[in-house]
Amino acid sequence: MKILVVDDETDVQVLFEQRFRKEIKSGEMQFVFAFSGEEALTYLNAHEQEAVLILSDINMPGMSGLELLDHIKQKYHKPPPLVMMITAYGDAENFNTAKELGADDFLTKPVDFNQLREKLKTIN
Amino acid sequence: MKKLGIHICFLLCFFSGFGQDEIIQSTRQEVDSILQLVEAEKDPAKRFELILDIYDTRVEGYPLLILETFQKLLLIAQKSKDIIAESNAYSLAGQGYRLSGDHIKGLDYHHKAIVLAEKSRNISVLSWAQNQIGHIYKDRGENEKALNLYTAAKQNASAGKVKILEVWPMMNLAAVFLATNQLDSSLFYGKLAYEKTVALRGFATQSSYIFSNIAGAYSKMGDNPKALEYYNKAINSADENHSVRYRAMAYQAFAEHFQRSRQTDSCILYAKKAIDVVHNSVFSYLAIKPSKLLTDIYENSNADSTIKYLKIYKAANDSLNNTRANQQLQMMTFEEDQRQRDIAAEKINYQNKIRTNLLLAAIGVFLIIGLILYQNNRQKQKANKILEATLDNLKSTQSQLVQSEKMASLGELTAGIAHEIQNPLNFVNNFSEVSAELVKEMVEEMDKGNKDEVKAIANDLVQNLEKINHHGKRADGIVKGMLQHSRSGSGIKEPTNINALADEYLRLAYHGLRAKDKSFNAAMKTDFDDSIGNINILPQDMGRVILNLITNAFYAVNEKKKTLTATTSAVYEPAVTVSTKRKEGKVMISVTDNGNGIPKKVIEKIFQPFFTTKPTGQGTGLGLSMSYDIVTKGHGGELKVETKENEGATFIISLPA
Repeated sequence: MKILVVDDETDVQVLFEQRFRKEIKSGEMQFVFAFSGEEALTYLNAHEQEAVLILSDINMPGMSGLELLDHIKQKYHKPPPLVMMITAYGDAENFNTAKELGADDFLTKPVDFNQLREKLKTIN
Repeated sequence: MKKLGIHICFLLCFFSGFGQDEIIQSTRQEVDSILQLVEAEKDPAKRFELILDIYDTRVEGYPLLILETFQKLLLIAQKSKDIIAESNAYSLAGQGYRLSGDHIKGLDYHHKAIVLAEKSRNISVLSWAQNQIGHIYKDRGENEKALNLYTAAKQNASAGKVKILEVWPMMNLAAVFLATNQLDSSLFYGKLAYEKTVALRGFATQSSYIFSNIAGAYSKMGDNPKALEYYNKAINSADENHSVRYRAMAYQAFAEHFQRSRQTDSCILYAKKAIDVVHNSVFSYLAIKPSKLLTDIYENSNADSTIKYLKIYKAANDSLNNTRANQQLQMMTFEEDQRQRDIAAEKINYQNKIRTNLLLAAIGVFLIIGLILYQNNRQKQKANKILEATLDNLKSTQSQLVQSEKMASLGELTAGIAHEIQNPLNFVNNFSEVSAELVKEMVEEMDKGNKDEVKAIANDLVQNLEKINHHGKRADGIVKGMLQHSRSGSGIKEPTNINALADEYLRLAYHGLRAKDKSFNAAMKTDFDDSIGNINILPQDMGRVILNLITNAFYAVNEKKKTLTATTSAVYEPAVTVSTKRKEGKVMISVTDNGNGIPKKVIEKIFQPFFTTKPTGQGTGLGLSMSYDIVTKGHGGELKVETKENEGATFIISLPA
């Protein structure tokens, strides 16, 4: 399962790689990283249908996570990847917007990686 | 001699006989009718003018009739308590006694007239009284005294209401100037007196006297034809008026003229005529001058005639100028002078009093003005105090506003800061958690004896610890920055990495705005010149400036995005760029946005305090003015703006490095 992680914090890459060290090692999960919404779209355009799940931060400079979500849900139909939104602000407004735009799940920071792992495994 | 006798006899019959009685009678009637008008008139000023008409009659030819008139007028005056008429009455008496040759009584009455005239405060009346008393001194040859009195009379007449009164002092001045040989003045006043009399009254009772004086002036000038012309006029006029006095005076004057021109026979003839005219009349004292003249002429040639005229002279002179009379007159004159001096002293006293009063009044006025000014000044001081208090209030309000501007920007940042702190803290937590897992795993691998794997994990652990450290420092920096931002600056410049500072505040601003407005988004671009290194600045102040510029830039792009997406489908990508550059010994920090730019009409005002384009309540209007002060005053730098409408704006901080 290929998972695209989108966050403007570059250190998430190291973090994810260590948190899912075993899953990556076993080939169970494959992580790709993009550090902005634009970069994520560029990757998605180049590797259509590869990513099954997209984990995206909402607060990013430039294209926000919600905009990215909008793009993905409107333009990638076959089959639309699952999109999980992550934000530091667990407020109702962002949650509702994300839901309306078709977000499949909603995570708040700090991310509970054990919970995330369970979720990813059920999707798989 | 026989011929002369007949001549004298004829003259006497003519003047002292029936002809004179008739004239006296008609004159008395004339005077009485004037007195009737005077009595009927109640206005003292009009009365005075009527009284003057008495002198237009032939009354002066008959001193007794004058005294009779005086008695009548005095009764009228006292009955109506009219001091002007009373003064006039005394002037009449004075003239009556003078013409009778009694200068002592005359002077006495004239003095009374002057006292009353002064009391009446009517300067026309005073002029008349002065003119009349002047005659006595004129008759006695006291020219200086006469001149003073006539001059005063003329001045008072000019200043008074009754203009005809000017004529008599002029006429008399002509006589006095003739006596003192000031011939031009004499002629001037003589002719002026005649012209004015004719102009104002149409006739001149005293014309004989006026002509006689004019003739005298021409005679002394040596203009014989003119002199003769006027002497004849004088004699004719005296004849017409049946005036014994004027006739005698004219003859005497004519005789003096012939004496001057050395025509002795004619001189004797007219001198004798002058004596004859007044012989046995009330005017017999007028024989003094002609008899003296004849005595002098005959002195060396004809002893009989000398004695005859000497006797006449002595008789006439005794009646007028005896020693006792002279002394008495001098005494009276002295007393009058004394009185006049007293009056003058009193006048000076009065003037001094007025002056003192005026001075007091002036001081009073100055005091009042001073008080008003003092009051004004006090009020102004009060107003000043109020203004000062208001100014102090404004200053403290302004400093409060500046403080609240700081706090407002801090408030905006709070959410952003929370996010910024949350991220590193998450990393710290995650990396420490994952590290703990890694250590367990490492122990397992150690048991397995998998050395390579242990090494890899150890490397990860080192990396994680670095990450923990990094993110811990990052959170620490943010907290410190926040504290710095809310603290007022230490005022000490310290070496600061301007790139790191700009980056930090760029992120703070971005997240701050995002926290407030979820829909907000913009591309953040940085272009830092790594060669700058550290520069000496007040970090919290400069951070505030950068934050302010970036916040403004984000606001500008957000506004443009809102309007564009609302009206058109045009593609707009909001972007804010922060760049640094070292250039020509300066460090430039630029904040560029691609918003709508700044309209020309407001560009002059953007650095003014309280200027804001934001809706009420959204901006204090202090951000840019504070920034301007920090850059220019605090760092000796410059804050400039470059803008193109609809394309964006660039704020450039340039600091000396």
